[in-house]
Amino acid sequence: MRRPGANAVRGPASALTSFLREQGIEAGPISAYSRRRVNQAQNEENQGEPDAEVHEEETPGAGPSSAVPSPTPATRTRKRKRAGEYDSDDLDEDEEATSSPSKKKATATEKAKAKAKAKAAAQAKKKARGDGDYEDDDDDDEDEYSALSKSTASKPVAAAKPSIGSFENCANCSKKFTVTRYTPAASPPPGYLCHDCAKASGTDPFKKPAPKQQRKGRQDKRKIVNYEEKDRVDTLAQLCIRVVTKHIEDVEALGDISSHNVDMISKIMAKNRRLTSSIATLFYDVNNTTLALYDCTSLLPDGLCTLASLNPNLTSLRLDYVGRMNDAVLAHWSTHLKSLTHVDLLGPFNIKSSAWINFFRKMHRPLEKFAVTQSPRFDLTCLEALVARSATSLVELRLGEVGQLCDAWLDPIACFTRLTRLNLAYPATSLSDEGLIELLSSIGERLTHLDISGHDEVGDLAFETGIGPHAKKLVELRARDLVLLTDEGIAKFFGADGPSDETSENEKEEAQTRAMVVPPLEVIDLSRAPHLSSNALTALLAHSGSVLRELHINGWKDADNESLLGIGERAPNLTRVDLGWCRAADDWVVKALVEGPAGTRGVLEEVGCFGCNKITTACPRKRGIVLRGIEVGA
Amino acid sequence: MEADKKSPAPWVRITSDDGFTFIVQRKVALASQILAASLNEDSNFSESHSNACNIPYRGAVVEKVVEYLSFKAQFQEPKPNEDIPDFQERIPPEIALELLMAADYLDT
Repeated sequence: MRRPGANAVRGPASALTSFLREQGIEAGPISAYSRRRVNQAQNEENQGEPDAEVHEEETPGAGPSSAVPSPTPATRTRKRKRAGEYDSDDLDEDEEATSSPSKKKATATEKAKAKAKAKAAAQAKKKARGDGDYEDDDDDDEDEYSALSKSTASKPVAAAKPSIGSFENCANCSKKFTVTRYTPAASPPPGYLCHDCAKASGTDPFKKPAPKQQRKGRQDKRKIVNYEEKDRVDTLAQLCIRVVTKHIEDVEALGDISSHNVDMISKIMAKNRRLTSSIATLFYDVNNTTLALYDCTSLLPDGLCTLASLNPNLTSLRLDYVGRMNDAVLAHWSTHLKSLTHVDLLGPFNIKSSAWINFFRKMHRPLEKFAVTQSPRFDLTCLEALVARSATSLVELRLGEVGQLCDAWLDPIACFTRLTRLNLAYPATSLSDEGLIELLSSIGERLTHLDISGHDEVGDLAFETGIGPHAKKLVELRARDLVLLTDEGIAKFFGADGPSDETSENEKEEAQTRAMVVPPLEVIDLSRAPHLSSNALTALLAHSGSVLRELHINGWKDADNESLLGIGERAPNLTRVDLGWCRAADDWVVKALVEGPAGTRGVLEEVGCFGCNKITTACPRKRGIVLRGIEVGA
Repeated sequence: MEADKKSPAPWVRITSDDGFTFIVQRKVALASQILAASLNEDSNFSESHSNACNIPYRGAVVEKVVEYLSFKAQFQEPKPNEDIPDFQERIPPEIALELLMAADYLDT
């Protein structure tokens, strides 16, 4: 409508505009602007002939709604206006106008003419309408804002109320009366009512104006709740701990507690993370020989020194989360704990290697147990110092998650002649098969407990030629996260015959001797070895099933249902089993486990089955057996 | 006590190790996680059938536990500006350690 069809030249258009154009939708008719224009055109037509005549005279055929190619006055004015503001409806056309200079040039004179015409037309319009006093060259008259202001539009204009005490004629009965503050206005506006008429009209002249509605709860609204206090009632445990803290100086007030309960209270304090220096004195005693604190996060170095001073007769000390322990503490211990032989520390990060070395040298008695987990500064020289002092006494060694562990450490470890428990789990870099085999060949025969978890370069070879032939007293084998282990290799390690079933007497004997190499194990943890499956499990059960107490085969995803059923049948002494992520485990496997082999008294306590989708809530249960990890609603 | 046959019974019996019996409102017993779990109708424990729970500590400790549970039941959902009295004053220090173990057992 606005843009004549004959004009085929188009500039770049936005995607939306071109789409709309394809659909035959023009912004013109729907834009508020053009609507107004159309309305105005109609008004002009309605207002009379002169206007139309003027149009005919001056711009023949060029009304706002005409289809003549040359720019109409309306378009002109619109363009002018656009210099100041943007009309989204017209953006594209604006571009057209500006982006085609040739066209611009061609039409420049035309435009000038049209402009003059438009001015003339507008003036003529104004004159015709009779508002000639409004002379404005700005052509923006189309946009003038004509709506009544809100206040004047909505309220009828009321004349000011006559002053109190003056005389007025009643709007109803025309009687003269004195205006009071109660004089109401007549309900069809002009005038006021006298007292009588006001009463007769039913309005109560003495009615007070409605009280302003007070905003309720403004105070509350302003109060911003930054956090909601939940659980404002402290737990009984917290309260008790506070009472204990308060009376810690007066130990007698707290009464006597048995040694079993001391350990239990120590655990409860750790659980509530309230084991501070003052509370810890609760567990100190001159006669103590063992002490275990399960969360020493709140114990400062001074507190740990106090510990040594107040428990001079300790032989065994276990402290967890001793991240704040420093060299001074260790030095203090070595001089004050004269009977200490068993040390178990979790997380002594801050101890430097020189402090370890001094500690080992100055100890009054050689250590029997040295167990640390997560001590990144413990290095080879520390180990050598430990060997120098405790080579013939150390029974248990744990270097768990010690970052610097490597093959070079194995020779010093081989010097511990009485070592029975060895834990080298989760180092930063794995030991090699060869190193481990060499170590086991020298100290393997005494080992009862071995943990080589997390050595990702250790494979079947270490089992076949390391553990198999040398660890003849092994009871507990933990080897989680050994990704290189293969099904066949482990099956062979546990004495399986290999793929052929036809076995001659010799082969059988051989198999038996091989099986005798490792004694039946009570605890086997081969979790998260992704390649192990049915063959390894079957061989394992045949080898150790009769004495097996704990079995962890978490993550043996390919183990089949049949072999898993064998666990229940062949392991009568099982107390704990972890079947997590063994995909083939189902309710029948659980049934076999729960019922146990026929004629035996089940001792099973716990079954872990996280990630076993086939085990349902309907699986058989038995009193005393905990099933962990069943998916509800699976 | 007349056992109420309606389910769930509004009263629950709590017994101590040395034979003391406390009869409390169910709401009070439910303030403890462990008692709530054992009294849960769905759990099918003997506690839920008999509406009786044993707390394996001596009477003086269980009495204080019951006192705390009723305290907790009353002030569990306090009004925003309500003052909550301090229960700590009511714990005699001589049973504090035993009470601590009982509290740990009951998960309260």
